[in-house]
Amino acid sequence: MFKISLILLIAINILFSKEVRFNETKYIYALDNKFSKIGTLNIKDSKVTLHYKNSDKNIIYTNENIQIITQETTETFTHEESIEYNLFFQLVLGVYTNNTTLLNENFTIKNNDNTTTLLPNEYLSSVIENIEYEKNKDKLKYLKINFVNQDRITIEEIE
Amino acid sequence: MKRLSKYLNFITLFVLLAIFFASDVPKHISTQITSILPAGENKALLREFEKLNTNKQLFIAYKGEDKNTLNSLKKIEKQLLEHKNIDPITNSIINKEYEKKYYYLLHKFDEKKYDSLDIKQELTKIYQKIITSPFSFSLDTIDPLNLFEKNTILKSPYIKIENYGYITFLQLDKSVNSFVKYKEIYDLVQNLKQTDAKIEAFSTLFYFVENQEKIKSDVNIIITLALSVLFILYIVILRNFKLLVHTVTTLGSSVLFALVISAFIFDELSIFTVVFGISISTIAIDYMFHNYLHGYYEQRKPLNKDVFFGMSTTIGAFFILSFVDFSFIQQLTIFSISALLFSYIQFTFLFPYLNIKSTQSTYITKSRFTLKPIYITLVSVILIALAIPNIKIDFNIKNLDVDNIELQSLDNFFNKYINKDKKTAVLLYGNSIEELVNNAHNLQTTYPKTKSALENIPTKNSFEKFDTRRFETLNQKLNTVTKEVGFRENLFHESYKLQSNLPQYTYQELQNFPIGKYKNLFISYAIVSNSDYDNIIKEPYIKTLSFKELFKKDLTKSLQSLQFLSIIALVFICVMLYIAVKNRFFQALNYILFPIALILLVSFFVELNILHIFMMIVLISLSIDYGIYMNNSKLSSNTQKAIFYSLLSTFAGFGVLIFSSVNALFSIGLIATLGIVSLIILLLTHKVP
Repeated sequence: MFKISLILLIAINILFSKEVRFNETKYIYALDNKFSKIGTLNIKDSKVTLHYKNSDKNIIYTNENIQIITQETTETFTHEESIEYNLFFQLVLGVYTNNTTLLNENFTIKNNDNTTTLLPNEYLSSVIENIEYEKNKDKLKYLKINFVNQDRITIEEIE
Repeated sequence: MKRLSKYLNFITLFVLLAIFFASDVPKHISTQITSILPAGENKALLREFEKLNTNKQLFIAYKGEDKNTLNSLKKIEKQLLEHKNIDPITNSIINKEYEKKYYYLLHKFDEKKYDSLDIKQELTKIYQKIITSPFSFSLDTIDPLNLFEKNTILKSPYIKIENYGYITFLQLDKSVNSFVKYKEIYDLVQNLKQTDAKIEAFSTLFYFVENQEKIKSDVNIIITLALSVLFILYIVILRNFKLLVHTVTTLGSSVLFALVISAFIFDELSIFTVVFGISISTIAIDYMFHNYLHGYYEQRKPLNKDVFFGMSTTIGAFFILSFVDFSFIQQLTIFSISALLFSYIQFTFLFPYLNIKSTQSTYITKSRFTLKPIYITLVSVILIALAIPNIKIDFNIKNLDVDNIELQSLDNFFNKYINKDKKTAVLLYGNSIEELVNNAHNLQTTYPKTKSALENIPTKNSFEKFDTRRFETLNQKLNTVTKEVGFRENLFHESYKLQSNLPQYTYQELQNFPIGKYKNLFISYAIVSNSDYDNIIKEPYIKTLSFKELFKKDLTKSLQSLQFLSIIALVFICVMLYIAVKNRFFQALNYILFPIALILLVSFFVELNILHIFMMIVLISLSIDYGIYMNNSKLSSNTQKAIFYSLLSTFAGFGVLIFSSVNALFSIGLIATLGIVSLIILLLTHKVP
């Protein structure tokens, strides 16, 4: 009985974990330049791991903290200490798991046809202008973050 | 005419009720403790500060150590931010455009960094930061080389408290400056607290709301208690329902009359005046009892001279005290004179026409124990002599307010985590806005822990001292390497260029700043560290906003006139006493000395406050009435009875205040009870033929 339960648990865990490959394009206004990189997101319950191609860094987000792990070091931050990563992961988790409660913590959600627009709360509005994304069933077509300083980040899921 | 006089008492009550509501008297009644401060510069400045104060904060805590605690706090925060007068703490009152315009004049320049600056190297570092940033890097094109001190753009507003949970704080905007607004915010927070027991919230404005509620509920209990005592007196002891109805009607009318007169004279009437005034108005029952028990109503005898003397003495003493330069005392004396005079006229001239029959009660019997007056005089003089060296005056008006322990502990809880360095607000002033701004900057330079919104207005001096040539050179150097490092061309074209003219020191230009005007002075405020407070307060352009200190100053001023006028009132009382009783003057004097002696015993246990002192004076005015009645040549057991009944009524009016948890009301009740006890002792030991 115990073995069956264990196998079932592992099976459920694998079934519900999700790996997403994406292409991230960042337009930086100050440099008037675009930078692209390929990344992988591994979403398992509320744990998210982020890794970029050609980087030795793994960034892990959990409900408790954020860890930045390289071959040599492991740095742990509270959510408040690493505000930027915290926001990024909350956004990714919210969008991928369709968790509107999580998104509502920092944004007001507006749905127009296929696209969804997130308007930041007063606290974030000094940095983020708005966020736009479109999903096709579970697949993310694009997620565009428009910053107040005219920077833009576009994330597109790749097969 | 006879029929009309039967109903005149009720008609008067209805007419006064109509006037009361038609002239909007309730609007004049203030529950704020500042309403008892004397009108003058200090009170006006305190009120101006209240209008300017944009520093009101709302602290929210959420208890819990699980993963959802922070999210729950954020949800609460979001709900609160939906209210139009609640803003996030990051939303500075300073106009961002204004700050941008005068950036180089408002921020401290780092000379050291400038001296060792390698522009290309610095820009390369920034470039690296930008491309490795996980999100977006906020590049400041005004000061890209970070040569001026700046605030962090993204800083978490949530504070984690070990073994508790999270705290955050919000800001209440300028328009939250009235009781209605305070109540609105308070109710919003309380409703949220009811939905979740893990929420704790505090703002200093909660004191205003909760204390008012506490005072109101205390007043309601006291009124019920007072009416119960009166009911027992009339129905159980006197067994005269008609007398009760007419007496309550007259007292009600007298209170309405006094309220109308007081509201006509004073713009703002303290709730304490109303409560205390209503209590004083019950003293008038004394006039009714003497007339009633001596058969003035049944037999329609001519004017009762003793009652007239008693009333004239009391009103005369109040009239003298009305010249004390202290708003509360003025309000109270005017209220008392109006109420007592009104009642006297009704009890003396209207009641004989109401066909009230005397019903003799058998509750009071003559006391067999009597004391020689000289012994009472001796004991009184000894007690007074012993008490005088112990007398200390408590100037802290806050001690008269409600002791809100629950809110105080919340206040301490949030202070412990947020305002680690205790701070106090002080008033800044100047003869012009420019001088006011200079003063704010001087204060901040001398005492760096000081915070003032006016620090964000540049001084004329900083504008004139700005080295335009040096920054022009810096701009040129910066722009030559911009492209080379990899930045957008012309990105730093405007960097380090002061593009504004000399700041205009006008209301219009500075409308977003907390600047007010009082007479010819321009005023604002600064938040200073308590460790600097004693020195800061000595600066020539600073005034204290400490309620305790302001009250102490005004009270000290008023105390001199209060002492002087009290002596005049005492001389007046003595003269009236001598005229009334002549050779029994010293025996009658015991009715002043003994209550004073017993009341002063309080000084062995607590410091005397303004209300203790004032209540003592009121009791002297009252006891002198009894001194006159009890030393009259026509003294009878009816006089003793009348005094006993009126003492019971006085207890219903004043004494019951001893059950109040509001220190101001308790102080009044304590002195009244001691006074009543001393008068009962005098009454029971007085030899009655």
